Amino acid sequence: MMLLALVLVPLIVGTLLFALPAAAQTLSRVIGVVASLATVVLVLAARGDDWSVRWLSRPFTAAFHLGLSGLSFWLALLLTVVTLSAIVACNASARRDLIAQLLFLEGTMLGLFLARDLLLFALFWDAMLLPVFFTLLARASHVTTAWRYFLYNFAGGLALLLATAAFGVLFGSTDVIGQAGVHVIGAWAPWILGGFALAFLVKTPVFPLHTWMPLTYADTPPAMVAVVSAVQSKAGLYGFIVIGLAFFPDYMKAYAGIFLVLGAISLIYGALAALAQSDTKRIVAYSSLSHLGLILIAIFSFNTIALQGAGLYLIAHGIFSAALFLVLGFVEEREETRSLTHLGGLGALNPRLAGALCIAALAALGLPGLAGFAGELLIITGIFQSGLLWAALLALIPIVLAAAYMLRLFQGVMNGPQRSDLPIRADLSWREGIALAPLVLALLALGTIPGALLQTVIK
Amino acid sequence: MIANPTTQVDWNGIAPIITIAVTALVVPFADLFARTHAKRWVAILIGGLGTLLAAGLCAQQYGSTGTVFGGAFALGGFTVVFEEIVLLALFGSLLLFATTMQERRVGGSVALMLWSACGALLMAGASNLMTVFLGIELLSLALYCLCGMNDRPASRESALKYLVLSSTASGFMLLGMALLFGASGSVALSSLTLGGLATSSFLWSGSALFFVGLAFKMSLAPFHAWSPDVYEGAPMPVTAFMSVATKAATLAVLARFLYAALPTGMSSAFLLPIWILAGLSMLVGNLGMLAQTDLKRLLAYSGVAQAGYLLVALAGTTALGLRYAIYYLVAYAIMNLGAFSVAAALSDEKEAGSALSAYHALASRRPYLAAMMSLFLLALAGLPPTAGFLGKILLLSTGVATGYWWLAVLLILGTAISLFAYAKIIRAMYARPDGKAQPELPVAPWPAMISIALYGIALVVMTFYPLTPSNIVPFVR
Amino acid sequence: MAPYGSVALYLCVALAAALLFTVLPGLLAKPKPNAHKDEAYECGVEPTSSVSGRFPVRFYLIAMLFVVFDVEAASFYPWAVQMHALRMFGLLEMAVFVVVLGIGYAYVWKKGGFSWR
Repeated sequence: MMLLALVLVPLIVGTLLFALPAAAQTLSRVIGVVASLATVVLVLAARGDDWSVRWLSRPFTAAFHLGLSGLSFWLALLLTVVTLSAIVACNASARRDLIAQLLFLEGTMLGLFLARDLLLFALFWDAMLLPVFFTLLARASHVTTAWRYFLYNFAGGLALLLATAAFGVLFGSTDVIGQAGVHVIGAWAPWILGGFALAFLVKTPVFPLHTWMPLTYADTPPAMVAVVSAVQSKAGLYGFIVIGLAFFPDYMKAYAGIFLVLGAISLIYGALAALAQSDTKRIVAYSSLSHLGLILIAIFSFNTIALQGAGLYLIAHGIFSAALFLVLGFVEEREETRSLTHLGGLGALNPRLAGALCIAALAALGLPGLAGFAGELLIITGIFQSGLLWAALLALIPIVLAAAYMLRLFQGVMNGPQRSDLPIRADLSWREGIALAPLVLALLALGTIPGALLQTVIK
Repeated sequence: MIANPTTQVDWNGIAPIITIAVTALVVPFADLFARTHAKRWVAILIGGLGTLLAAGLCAQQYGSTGTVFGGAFALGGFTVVFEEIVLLALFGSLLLFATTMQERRVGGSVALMLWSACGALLMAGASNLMTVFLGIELLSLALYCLCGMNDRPASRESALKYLVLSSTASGFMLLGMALLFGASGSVALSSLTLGGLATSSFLWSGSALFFVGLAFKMSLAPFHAWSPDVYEGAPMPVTAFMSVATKAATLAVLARFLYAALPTGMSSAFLLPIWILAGLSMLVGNLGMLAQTDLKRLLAYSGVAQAGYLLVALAGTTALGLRYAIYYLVAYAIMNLGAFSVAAALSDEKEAGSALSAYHALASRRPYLAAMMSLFLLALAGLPPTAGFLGKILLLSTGVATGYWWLAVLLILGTAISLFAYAKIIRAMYARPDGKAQPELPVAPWPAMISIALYGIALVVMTFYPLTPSNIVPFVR
Repeated sequence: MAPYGSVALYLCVALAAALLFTVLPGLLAKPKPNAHKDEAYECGVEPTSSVSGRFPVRFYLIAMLFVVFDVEAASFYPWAVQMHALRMFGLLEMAVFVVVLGIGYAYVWKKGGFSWR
């Protein structure tokens, strides 16, 4: 029941928030913080729980089956912590609506990561699009972005829906996530895997299905994009691990070439594109494309070490990309621009802001001692061990490039001469500092003692 | 000499129909003597009570079997389920009279709608061709009049168009029935299964004409062209009733025909044209929605597509498929009634809630109605957490399981297209007010608001507690 | 199929005859248009006014109500012929029919359907 509460609490609190007057900014934040804190506590308390109620018995068996273990636990923890940070950091003008949408997003994504049933997984997969879609729709200037986000992802969602139905009919049950020994074989199996894979590739995203991503990341309010980039983008990779690898191992191996090539293109293309951007959020968006391409390669190398590295790097990427987007959001709110050509020299007056951006950027470029390093190292070792020499060599290039674009980002915003045309604003406030604190602590913790996570994330 | 007819009469079997018919007589009579400003609510109240009574009587027959009136009307779960859906549509549509239509016309309209429902109830239980035709004509005749009940010219146009086109379709259907009768020598749907008929050209041509008639009533593409015009012109409660009850009743006839009347073993090739119509409807209906500026027209095209979805469940004519068709039909009834209820809550006699422009920035003025409308539209699009989502999963799995994978793919394609149209309305509702003066919105009475909430709750509950009737053998042999 | 062969033959002959009578004159006759030929034919009398005259829409209402009662009377005949065979059941059925009709009659009356305004 604790798991059910975990999914329902954010959804119910989010709905109730709409009953408040729109002007109740502080009250809605307090409620949001309490609710998201409660979810963090629930995730920690409910670790290892399992809850199931029968849903359908025909045409295939399905259940409301929630479970919290392994990768699910870590992603749920990541999600709840990032949501908490996002709600604390949230500065938007329509704050009540944004906090409510953040809670909806948290609830639907908790449902997705906790789902032990494919049908439930598909339900939350579609449902988690709605909060972001409506948030973007509510801003008149971002309607195109909203549609692009929604259509790409909903097309993927429909493929997933069809694949789920076919899976259910073929296998007789969708209550299978996390169970060993479920192998789908037959003439239809590659098509079903194809349906799942399409949804996952769009969501991750992977070249050439990524074109919704830079726009969405740039236009979504900072608090929400932190959650989307940190956690929602992991849904696809999570799907590859718990659905693809678990149920279709043979077909995953047979078609691995396609995914490896797509991953490699994303890896290089994302890094090069990040170098060429002048919009701060877009730099991080393309760096995500690059980093997630690396994880995709790790998954399709079918090597235990690489897979463990992928699990670790999933969490690490979630933390540092959330931190990056939040800090860049603070910068944008202060200076009213995201363009590197207008920004510059903020570091001298805003040392705390500069420090936060520095730690996040260093983690992103894989500095030893911070979260990104251990994952990257394991992934490349694993890929090398699996015999994909070309992939391992390719993976080294973006690591070098990551240093270049992350330092370029940091320098462009914080260093250099002070710009006279930028408004001078106060440094990081206490509230903003508290929002970033758990993320920075997690970056340090994962960088120094990754073992605690590594042993449980993927078995 | 004729046999003593009293031996074949079973009043109990058609008690719901009798109840509705008697209510239909009481309503205009009460309307005559009600005070001027009570006419609206008197008619709705009497009509609603009669409907509830009929629903109660109907539910009692769930377990019964056999036929009454010499095989003209079948009893049993199948009939009961479809009758209840018709009664649900009737009750929901009656509530819409609370805000729309001029007070002096409400009494007559309610009475006509009750008669129309009688026809639909007959169709739900019709087990021979004559009852089918009687039901269809009773349903349609009352609807022709109802369509013209508004003062707008479009309403007259709608009535005339419906009359002319629908009569033509009835003519086709009647010729088809005659040919079927010629082929089998019997009007009973069950005797069409007699062996040796598979090669009869009369059976083929008769069935084809019969299907054309049914496809018209169900507004399947390419026989759908009448529905946007008629839906747009007809008064809102009538449109709501037509969109649900006609589809439900026609589906009952079609399902009975498909499941019970056809020779086994010949079904796949024989029925292929129907599945092609279904596929075509999904595309045409969803594409047609994109350019609409009127909610009723949009829902007309949506209805074309949804009729196509419904048929996917019947492809392969499995018992399970029929259950899912019923599940989806109930879901469709609720979401459609919900959408129309919101439109009616924003309307007065002039039906301002029918134009899509009325929904601009609705969220800032009527947040509750905007939220519920979004839910209904999401349900129509098949998104969670609504019964539309689970319904689509069930339809898809039936399509895949019976080998009609191409219908499943078309369903997915159609859904993708439809999303543009539904989300366009949602987007308009959540747009910022553009500063232009908006017409004053009427305040809907509380029964309307409560019914909207109930529709919403039902849609969500149905997702997580899917209940499909098991006692639905379509035909009692 | 055999018993319907003659019906099919009849249909074919009817179609052929209809086509013959409509198409053949056009082919054979020489067109000689003149103004008198376009006038409406009124028993050889010169038309005095426009043929499609206007008359009040009320007329339709009365005509429609007349049809209702006309059909009602027509339905009584078969029942009257078989009254003894149908016995009590038939009588009750007819009573129901008359009551339904009576309610309609009262409704029309009260609504002013019979008054020629």
